Amino acid sequence: MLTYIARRLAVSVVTLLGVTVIAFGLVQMLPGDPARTIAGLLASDEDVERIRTRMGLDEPVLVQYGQFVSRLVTGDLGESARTRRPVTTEIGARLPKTIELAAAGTIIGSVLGIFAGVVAARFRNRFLDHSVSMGSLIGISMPVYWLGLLLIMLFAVNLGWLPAAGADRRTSIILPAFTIGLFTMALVARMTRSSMLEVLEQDFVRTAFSKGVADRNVVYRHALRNAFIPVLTVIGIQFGSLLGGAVLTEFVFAWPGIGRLLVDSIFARDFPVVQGIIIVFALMFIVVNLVVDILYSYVNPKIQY
Amino acid sequence: MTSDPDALLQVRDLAVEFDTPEGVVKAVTEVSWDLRRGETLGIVGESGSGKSVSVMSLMRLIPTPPGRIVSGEARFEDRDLLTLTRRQLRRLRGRDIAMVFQDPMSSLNPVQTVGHQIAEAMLVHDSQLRDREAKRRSIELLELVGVPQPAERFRQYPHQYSGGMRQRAMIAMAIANRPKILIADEPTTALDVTIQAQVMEVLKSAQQEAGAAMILITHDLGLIAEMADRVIVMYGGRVVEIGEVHEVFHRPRHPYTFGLMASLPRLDTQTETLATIPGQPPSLVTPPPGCAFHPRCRLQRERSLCAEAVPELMDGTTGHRSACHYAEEMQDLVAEVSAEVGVDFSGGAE
Amino acid sequence: MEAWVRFRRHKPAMIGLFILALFILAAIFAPVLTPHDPVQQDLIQSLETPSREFLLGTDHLGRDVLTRILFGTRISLFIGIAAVTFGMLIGVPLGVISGYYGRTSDMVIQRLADIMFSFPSILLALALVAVLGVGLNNVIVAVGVSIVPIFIRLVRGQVLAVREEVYVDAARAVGAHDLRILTKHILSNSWAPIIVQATVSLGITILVAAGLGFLGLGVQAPTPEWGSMLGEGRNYIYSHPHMTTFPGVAIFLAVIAFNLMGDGLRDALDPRLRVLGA
Repeated sequence: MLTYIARRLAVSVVTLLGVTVIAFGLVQMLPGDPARTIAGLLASDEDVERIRTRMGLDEPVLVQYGQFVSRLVTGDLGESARTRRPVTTEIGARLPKTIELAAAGTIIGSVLGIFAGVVAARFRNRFLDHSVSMGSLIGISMPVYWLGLLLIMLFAVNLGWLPAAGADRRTSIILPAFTIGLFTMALVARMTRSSMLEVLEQDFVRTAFSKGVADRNVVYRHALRNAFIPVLTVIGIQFGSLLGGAVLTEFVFAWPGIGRLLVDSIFARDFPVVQGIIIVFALMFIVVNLVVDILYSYVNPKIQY
Repeated sequence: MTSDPDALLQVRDLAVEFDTPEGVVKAVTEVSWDLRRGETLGIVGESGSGKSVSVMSLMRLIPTPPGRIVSGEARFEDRDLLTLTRRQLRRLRGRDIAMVFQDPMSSLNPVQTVGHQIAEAMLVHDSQLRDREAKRRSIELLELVGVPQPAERFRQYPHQYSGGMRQRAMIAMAIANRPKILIADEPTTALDVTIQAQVMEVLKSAQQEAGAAMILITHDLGLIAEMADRVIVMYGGRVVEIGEVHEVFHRPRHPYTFGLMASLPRLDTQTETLATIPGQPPSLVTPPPGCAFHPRCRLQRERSLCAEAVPELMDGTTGHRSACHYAEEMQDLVAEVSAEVGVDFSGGAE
Repeated sequence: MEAWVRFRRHKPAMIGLFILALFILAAIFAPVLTPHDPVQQDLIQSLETPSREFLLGTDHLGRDVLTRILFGTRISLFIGIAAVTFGMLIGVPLGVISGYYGRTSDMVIQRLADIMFSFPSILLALALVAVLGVGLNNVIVAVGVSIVPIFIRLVRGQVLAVREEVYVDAARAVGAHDLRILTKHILSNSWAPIIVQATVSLGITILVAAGLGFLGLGVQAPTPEWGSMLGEGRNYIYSHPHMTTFPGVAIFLAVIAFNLMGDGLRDALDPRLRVLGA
């Protein structure tokens, strides 16, 4: 088991390194003078030169990369070109909000999705099944930003029940969480349904029936426990993905998370922040994937390392 | 059809169909038989003969979207199994009528411990039963079926058991509530040959321990010869012969039964050729007209009756019935084939 | 073809095909279908609600929404096809190399794919747009790159499966060289899931491209693009919801169409794959 974790960690580190190369490379690829880019368009020539020497931008590329990585390891992501504050501060201020939203969306989506998927599998090819299938199709086809707007129109503008934007009130999280939850719900429902159908075909389900176990218990205690395993992986990956992929939702609902920071920074050409967000996000995603993998091998008694 | 007072289970005119893209498959047609108290009834036939489906449908364990019980009656303790509600049926399953399936690896839940699964069989039917008591009894059962270190094994998962042990565990699960009927569907087919005999021993003693009647479904004639009291031979979804094992195997009254016996390789004689049954099993969507076996039957001898009328089960000696228009001519056929192949198939060795 | 018969039987897929056909017709015949100009501003007529003259209303600059949606079909379909083609041109060969030659090239390409997988498509596309800048071509590249890893993984899996088949050994024994084996045997047996994925990816690329447009980082004004129309309409959501409703419906229908067709193709081309279908 430990060797497996060690191996996965090693792979993760390599992947993360690759991400740093890309993040570093992105800024290098920008047209123009990198020092000026980092300093920002409004900076004076002296500032630019200062930054150039301080950041070692006159050194060869490889050396710069080395410095970049060594700074990363100490947690230094540079300064925001807009606010002059450390990138880590900027990100740190908003990261909890993003995690909060991603978690809420994942939980809502997963719980509803699993339930829907189980119901669909149980009543296969009947009305409930077709409704769930159609619902899932709509869920994964719907543009998240449009859904957000529609929900705002309905619940905030017309009904006035929920706040349209921002994160100041306790109920603020409901609409955005539900918006991103919908996609997750559709995905999880589809996955659960097909997993359940596969499991329900298996012999041990027949054995459970032949023992006299009640239908409901066969579905939940026997089938679902088996079917759940691959679904867990999907949920985990979705959560990781939502950490960065909620960009559009954060934008629509003016939710103060790193997604919104990313968009604002792109508009403001604040590249150190963009770079920092890419790295932070990749790191989080890799960690989440690692955790999911380990959890998976734990949950499935057949896997032995 | 006479009614037997000693009968525990009486099946009458059972018919089961399946909807497939190729058409409606008549898997079981006009099947009737009795199961007597304490006896072991074998049901033998090739794949597709309907042997499993006929018994599974009694417990409604066949998938009922494609499948359908078209007609029939199955009397058990003054009730018709086929008309019970799901709740009533659930009370019978695992308690009065228990099953052992073919492949123990896939028939056990991989994410639950074996012990828990055995205990569940008891807990489901006895709401007063406490977990600890169920656990104790499960360990006893594991010991009964010969699983070593039962207390430890209780906590293990199916993939940690060997094939033979898993089947023993399935047997333990089946007799947990002392069922009146034990149904074994190809119990040893998925096991290594060396293990098969052991498991059959366990099955036999388990049956005795529970005092149950057993229905043994298999394609293995040797197994029937050893374990069963009476046997039913099925072909093309119908019963073609019924009788006591000894009778049926030594003096078969149906050319198909004889064909099965004759095609077995023998150790006691030398022969150049194997007497096989020519042709293929019949299509169950469009079965041949008349007797389902007639296209492959030597006894037909060009006689038109076989292709026109489906033969009824008719009495030979007491209790020994077969569905053949020319059952009386069987002995001649046996002699004929014996001469051809050079092996004496008639009567003889016990 | 037998597969086409199977596809026809799949009602939802046929609905998808029908919707797609409508979109294609709209794209081709856009100028004929509407008397209005998609980019001509006319502030007098701005923010009109749906009426007989302007079937879906007008936007804040007086342009007819329906006209812009029709012309926008051209943009979206073009982006979709271009991006998926771009993604496949890179992803498929990489997947083939990774799966067929194994060892080092496999490890390298796999790590590359892992890195790209570390980002959800929108983030990857955003990052690229941040570097490359906005505009139609850059959107195509950005979105195209974001779907490369899916194809790498898919193709690699297919190649790995087929590579072990006996007929590949047989071909090699007869002296066929790699390129021939790859194209004739391996690809010809693996194209079905690739087609299915390409269809679904068409929907995804339209969604992502529209997302970029919504943020204002995609195709730039005044070119009509569904996403940017949504973005512009956002400011008027309280007073004139029609500006946001209809472009969104267009995106939604297009994506559904491709998803439906993808499902149908999956069932039709290889019934064995049905295990994963709905």
